[in-house]
Amino acid sequence: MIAVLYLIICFVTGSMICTFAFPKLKEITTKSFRGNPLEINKYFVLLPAWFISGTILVTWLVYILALFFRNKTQPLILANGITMSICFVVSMLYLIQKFWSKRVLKMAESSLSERKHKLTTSEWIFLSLVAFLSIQLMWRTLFVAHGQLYVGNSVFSDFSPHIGMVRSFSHGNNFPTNYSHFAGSDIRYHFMFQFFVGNLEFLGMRLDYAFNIPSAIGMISTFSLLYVLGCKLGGKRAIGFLSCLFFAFRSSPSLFTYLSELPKGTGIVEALKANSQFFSYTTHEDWGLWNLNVYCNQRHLAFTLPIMLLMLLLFIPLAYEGLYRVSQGMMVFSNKKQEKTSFTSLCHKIITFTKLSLLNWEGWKVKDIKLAIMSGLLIGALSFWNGAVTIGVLLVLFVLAIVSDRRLELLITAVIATVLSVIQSTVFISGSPIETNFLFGFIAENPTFFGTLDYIKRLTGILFPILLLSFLTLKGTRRWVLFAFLAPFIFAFTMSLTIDVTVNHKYIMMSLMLLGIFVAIFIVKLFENRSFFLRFVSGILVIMLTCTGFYEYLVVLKKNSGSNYVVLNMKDKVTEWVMDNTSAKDTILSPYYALNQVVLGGGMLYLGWPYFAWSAGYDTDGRQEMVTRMYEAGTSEELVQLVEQEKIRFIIVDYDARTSDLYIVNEDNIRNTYQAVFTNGEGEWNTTIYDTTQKIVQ
Amino acid sequence: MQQNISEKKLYLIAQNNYNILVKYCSILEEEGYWEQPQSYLNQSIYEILDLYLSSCLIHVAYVLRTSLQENQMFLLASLTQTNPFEVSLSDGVKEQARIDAEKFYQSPPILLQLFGLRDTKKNTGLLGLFFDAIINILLVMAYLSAVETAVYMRCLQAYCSSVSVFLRGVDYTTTIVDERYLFKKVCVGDLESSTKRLLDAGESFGDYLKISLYYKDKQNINYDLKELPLETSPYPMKKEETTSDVTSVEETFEKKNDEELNNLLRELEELIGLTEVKKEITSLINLIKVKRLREKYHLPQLEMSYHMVFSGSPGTGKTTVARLVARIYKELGILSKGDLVETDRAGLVAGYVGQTALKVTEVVERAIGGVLFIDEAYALTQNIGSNDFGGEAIDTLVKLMEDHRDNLVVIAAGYTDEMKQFLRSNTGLVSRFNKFIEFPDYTKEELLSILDAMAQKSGFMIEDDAMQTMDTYLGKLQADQKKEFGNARGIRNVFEKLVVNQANRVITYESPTLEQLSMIVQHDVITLLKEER
Repeated sequence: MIAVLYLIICFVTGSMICTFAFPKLKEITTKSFRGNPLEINKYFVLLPAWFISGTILVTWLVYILALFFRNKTQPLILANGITMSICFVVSMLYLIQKFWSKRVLKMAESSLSERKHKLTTSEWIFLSLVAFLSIQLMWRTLFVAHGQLYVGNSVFSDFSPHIGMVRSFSHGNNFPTNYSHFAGSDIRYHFMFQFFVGNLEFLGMRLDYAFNIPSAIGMISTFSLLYVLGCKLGGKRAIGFLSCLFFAFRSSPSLFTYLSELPKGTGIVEALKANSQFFSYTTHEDWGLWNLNVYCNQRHLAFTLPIMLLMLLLFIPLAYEGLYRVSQGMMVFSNKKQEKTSFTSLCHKIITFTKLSLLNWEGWKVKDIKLAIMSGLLIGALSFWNGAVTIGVLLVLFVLAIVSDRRLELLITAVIATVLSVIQSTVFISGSPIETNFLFGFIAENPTFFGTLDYIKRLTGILFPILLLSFLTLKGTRRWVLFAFLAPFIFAFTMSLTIDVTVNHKYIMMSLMLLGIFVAIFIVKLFENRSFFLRFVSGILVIMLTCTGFYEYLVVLKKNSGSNYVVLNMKDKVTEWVMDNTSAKDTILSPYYALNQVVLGGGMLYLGWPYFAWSAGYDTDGRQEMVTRMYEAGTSEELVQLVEQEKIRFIIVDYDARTSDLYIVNEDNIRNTYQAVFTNGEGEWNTTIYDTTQKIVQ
Repeated sequence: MQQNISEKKLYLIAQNNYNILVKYCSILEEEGYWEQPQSYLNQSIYEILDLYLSSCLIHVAYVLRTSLQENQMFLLASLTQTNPFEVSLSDGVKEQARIDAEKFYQSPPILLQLFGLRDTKKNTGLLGLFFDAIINILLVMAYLSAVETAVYMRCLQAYCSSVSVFLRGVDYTTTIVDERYLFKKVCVGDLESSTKRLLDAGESFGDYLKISLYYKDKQNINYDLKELPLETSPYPMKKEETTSDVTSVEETFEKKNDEELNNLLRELEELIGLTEVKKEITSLINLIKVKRLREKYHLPQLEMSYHMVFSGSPGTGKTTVARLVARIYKELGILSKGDLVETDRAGLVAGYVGQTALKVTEVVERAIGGVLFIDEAYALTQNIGSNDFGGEAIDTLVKLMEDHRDNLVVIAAGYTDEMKQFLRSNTGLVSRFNKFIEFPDYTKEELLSILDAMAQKSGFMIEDDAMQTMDTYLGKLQADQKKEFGNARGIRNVFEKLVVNQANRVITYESPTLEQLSMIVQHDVITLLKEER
């Protein structure tokens, strides 16, 4: 109940902030970017904007307060209490002020004159489908039944650190925050979504609901805002729908490649029915990096994409304004300078463009400082929700800013966002947060020019040829916007932020989501042609651009069904003991756990599954060696010394430790050194936890 | 095996073993092993001993009996020096104390850890000796609980398993005291002699074992129980029961059991038809009786499974016989409750992995102490191979049958051919269900007898003409129709319809006589047959 109240407060606070900072948001759906009437219901934008922005800012406030009260027994109670009270009081005051101000009458008038755009049948169907898809995917991959937590086969790996972090907040007061798979160090993982989920669980919401409700809302919000962005760029509802279709079922030629590789005589339907794996024609494609599984896996991605879309809805008009003004100036220029040679003309064009755009005071004016500041705050606040989205938004806005008016607003936004990101990195990360390196073809297996082209071809199929055609048919600002949307894509192939190549796939997914709009614009244009052939071609193109994605959606469902789940007992003795007796400050020496009952209990592992910590940027080699040394320690003195040096609080000896190939655990030594504080199970399957603060030898 | 030891002697044995534990703890204390733990536990080693021992005793006592007897409470209240959970004869064990005791019981035993540490350092065997003394005290509690050997054996085994990690030798795969050791100790009845030997034992567990009654190269050492130098208990004792008292109680109990058993057999005999079934069940009962007699005289035992398959069409009396079998097994001492829990595929199989196992465990737990009757059991195997959890249900069932083999009987029922298929689906099933009882369809005469019996039981009479018509009708039923008819269940439906027809007829009479009210006539049968058409 309190968790639901928290969500409501987030929503109300978000509505207040958006109404204050982005007052024109409610009018955004009335016109396309080119000024043509649209007649889309305003709540397609308002509801997602209110909920996501409110949640991000309110949750940050809770986190900061909890960090401030970290030495109290229950910092989250204080933090939530204060935050919810403040938000409630401020919301009330705001509403009262609105109600009593003289603007009441004006508001009433404007609302009377405002046209109410009802949802069309197609929009009802669209909303029902995206709601179904989002809810189905989230609950299919994570749910609780009969006291057991079912984690889907295609997501359990990423859910290991996610669940560990969530539980470290809901049951472990993880302030200051540590990474649950690399305890006792800094936090290099964008953990705020997990904090949000952990806080909801702390406030009484069951773990699966706490994960799935925000994730589903996030996903629906993404679809909703993408629909509006598509409509605004293309001027037609069909473009919005198609953009969402391409986003949901992003496709590569993998399905066709797979079918072409089938041995002769193999039935296509049988082969597709029998297959239960994602295709694998690029690195880690079989992890489900390029399909809907990403959003089931990385719930914080779908939750933060709405902010990116919201920013684009707010800032793309500035590019339209800028380019319109510059084009007017250029027209005057071209009328005057026709006698020049082509080269001189080009030089003059560039100089004139620079004068009119970059060096023109009009291009740097600040007209809406509230928009700039609040946008900066929102983008900056995202960096520990999903750092990739922060970078992605800034990249797109940077390219847009080149041609935009009110460039200073964009600069203020970027500065605030960057400062906030730096502050967060400084607070959370000790040492260098990210190592940025230029690395052409980073994500491709063969990082040469042709190798990268080949990779892009395998990854996107006919998408880029269609984009090229779309680009050729577009005019003016939309060409520039298309180019801006490419920015994260280019970034993914040129810059490395972590050693793990897979991390860059998010930038590609963001770009492809946005570029889908331009593909949709081209296909709708084709379809609107009277030629049956062109209509037929457009249909074929839609099928080609979605069939792999749609098939992989079925694979996601298949992978997360029947007996394919990782099942964890919510009331397991080990889990309950860890929840009741350890806090985030207690580092646990354990075998390399991925997802198990200790992780579910929120145990802070000295070294969990090394890949998670390694890909987040931690130095795992040193700890791997120390794990072996501690488990194999031959004497009590050696063990005590190592344990004190590494600040280990608990040592777990269980089946995984006893059967590890990496070390031979000296259980007698541990048993003869520290008091066991928990034991459960028989023989080799026994799990015993030793408390290193309770030595039994001198 | 439970011995005829008087309560007084049991208390004394417990007291002596407690003193042995105290003695061992004092060794630890003197040698400084308690200094470190005391620094954070803030309790003396003797307080921890009392806490641990009492928590184990309370746990065992409640596992063996849901409510404690006076003698158990007396042991709990009087054994330790501090009585940490404040057990009293008037209040027993308070709820909170029980929770605390269970919590302490679940926590790892620091004392076992310390004895292990000392043994490692000094190459001694105090851990084994200490643990044996604890087992002796728990055995006293078990004897006082007066439950069957198998029940407390399981309880002690569970305790040993829970602490097995602290009983490990140098090689962690072997334990100092294992299930086999415990089994021998209980079977030989080592309680008194082991207490005596513990009083004299040095620090070597190996030497102590060599003079045990069950050591394979045992020496000819016989302890005269009368000479056991048990210390005098400081606590008031209950009136000592003599061996003859115990025997007479047992005899009375056995007599009562026999009477009940005969009643049940009579009930079985009274069932109409089922001649072969009755023969089979009677043979089985005889086999069990002889087995128990052989057990009494320590003759070699034949391993036998009590699980059965009842095959036959619906309505042939399988559930009725199963219910009787449950009660008969209870009287024979095979089961503790004798209830029948009826289930089918829907009751065992769930929609997701893991759920099925939980569902089966839940059903089996309800059935423990009685008979689990799985109707149409073959349905569990019908979809194996596709996305079905029937296989998981069978695997879980087989495991649980093994886990509760001493107090659970499973009867699987269904059509003959399908049941054969069912047994073939899992090798674990074939070995466990080796009793196959066929329930043939009732003959026409048997069905008429059932109809007659039903009528008599409900205070009706069926006219001869009506019976004749019914006979003709049943004779005309084809084999397929008979199957549909559902044997005894079908005849019950027929009877109920006849009663309705009779009521519709009698209601038209102005003042029906007693005879009219209870007589079913040919007209009622003909009306029924018309309706059937």
